[in-house]
Amino acid sequence: MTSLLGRRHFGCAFCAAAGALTTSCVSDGTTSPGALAPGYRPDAASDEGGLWATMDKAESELKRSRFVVRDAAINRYVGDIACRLGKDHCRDLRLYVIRTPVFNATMAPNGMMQVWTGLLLRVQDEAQLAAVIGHEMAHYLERHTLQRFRDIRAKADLATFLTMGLALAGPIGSVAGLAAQMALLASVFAFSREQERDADRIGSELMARAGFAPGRAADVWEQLIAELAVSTIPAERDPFSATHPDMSERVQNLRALAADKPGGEAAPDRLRLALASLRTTLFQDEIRLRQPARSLVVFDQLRRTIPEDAELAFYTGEVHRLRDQEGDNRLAREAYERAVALPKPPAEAYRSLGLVARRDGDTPTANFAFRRYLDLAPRASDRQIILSYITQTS
Amino acid sequence: MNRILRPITLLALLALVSCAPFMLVPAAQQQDVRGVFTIDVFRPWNRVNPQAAGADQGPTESWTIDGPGLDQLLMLVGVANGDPLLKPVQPATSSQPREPLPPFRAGMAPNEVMELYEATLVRLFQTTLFETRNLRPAKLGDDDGFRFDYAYTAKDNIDRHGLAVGAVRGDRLYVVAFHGPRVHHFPAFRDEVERMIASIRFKAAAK
Repeated sequence: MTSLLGRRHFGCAFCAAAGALTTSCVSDGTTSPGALAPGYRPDAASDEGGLWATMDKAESELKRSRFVVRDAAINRYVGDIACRLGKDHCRDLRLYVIRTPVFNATMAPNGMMQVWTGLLLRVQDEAQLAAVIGHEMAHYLERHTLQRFRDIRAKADLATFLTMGLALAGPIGSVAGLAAQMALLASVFAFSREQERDADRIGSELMARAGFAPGRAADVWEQLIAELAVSTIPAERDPFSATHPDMSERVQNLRALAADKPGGEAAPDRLRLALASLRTTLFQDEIRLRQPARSLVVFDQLRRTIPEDAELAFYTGEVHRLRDQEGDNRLAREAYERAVALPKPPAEAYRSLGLVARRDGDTPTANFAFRRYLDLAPRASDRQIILSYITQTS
Repeated sequence: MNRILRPITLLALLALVSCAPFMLVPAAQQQDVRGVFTIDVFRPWNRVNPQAAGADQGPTESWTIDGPGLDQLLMLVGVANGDPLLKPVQPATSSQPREPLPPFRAGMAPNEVMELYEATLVRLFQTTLFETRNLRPAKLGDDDGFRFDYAYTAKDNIDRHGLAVGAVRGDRLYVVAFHGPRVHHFPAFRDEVERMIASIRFKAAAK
């Protein structure tokens, strides 16, 4: 089931007793005086109440979505990071890990937090994941969405707001639905540069307070810039485009913010261990996007923090095999050969090695690899077709 | 008045007919499909009118009984080397350019065709919940080919099952696939679709 921080409390050591339903504004020095108080729920008749009601409706759709990752351990792990960052706000947050292979996390004004699996593939350590969640949490604590809503309303751009409301009320739960709605949200509720700067500053503070290394925040954006630089979609390539107006500037700001906050943990091993059960799914979903240049950048980035393991080598080979352009067969084969030489190679690495050897006309290697695949996966559901490859060449 | 209105009405009717979203495929033995193969049709089907779709659909036939959201017989009638399996219409709501769909390559093994089919439908239905299984040798017409099963959940959160039978003839790929909701349409029409697929005969000149 969907993990609800508010109901499960995550065993959160930082959580205070549930705050009274109050609109009083408190600040601990990190957030502004107008920031959200723990336990806050707006008056239903207010504009903020209406905004929350819209988000509540969207959330009720999301709860039923088949795209929500239900794995309790994964939810507990990501939720604990949110609780470390959010402290007293822990019980107001409800986490949904969404199986969408796109770098993204969001936090709605009502406490609905989404972490997309594309982000989980890309972060190299726990501090990087905390950086993205902390940034979103800062928007939430500062009620940036409400501010934007009021700005828009002041400009009498009601039609745009209504469009957004209708879209949010529609079905959420697919890549399409979420992407479309997030795009719409981004266009309507795109945070101002000032709000983004505030969120970066507060996010950095939240990280430091929670014991995460704030310096890792800048690295997340640097990694994303490197990935987008090879996108086949021109609008994504240019870091100064309308879609990403200030990513390089943001990296510099985050580095400056982290400079006076030394220490803190990055915890790459803890992240890897916690996400182990989801890792194959993360790789498979990335591969199926068929965005080879971007995938190779992401895998190279992963390779920088950990020595290449068999699974990473295998999926690197898969990117080359599926791209199938000049030189890819050789690179795929090299990657599969690395994979099968490492501990615990997936059986599929042998199957793929067989497929590229078959393309090369290297029948002995192909047949050896196919037989090895069937030895390792005797109940493989494609057994008959693999046997037919061996028979055809014998 | 009638003299003026009548031609306008006729024109309007003609426009309506040519843009009708579906065209009837009557029940018939050895129904011709694009001059490439024949298939036995045991009940009337609705053929999605490619003209009404408003874009080049490529060599794709889409037939349905109760509507494409409930049951869809998808026929890829000779995908050429280097072409994607489908040429989907860009949704009007999307202004974002997309990565191109991956292409078919003539030398692909059945495993690779299945992966291509999966990657294509994942994009078409915009889902991550898509699984293929049971890839095995099979005939399409008299040609040696392959078949596999699949299951997916799209944005409507409905679980669907599907089956696909394919073969590469010359440098072109032929696939006949059927999918529908797991709870009714897929099991209800599966046997009939299997008989239809078994009846497929390629025309002698078709490559």
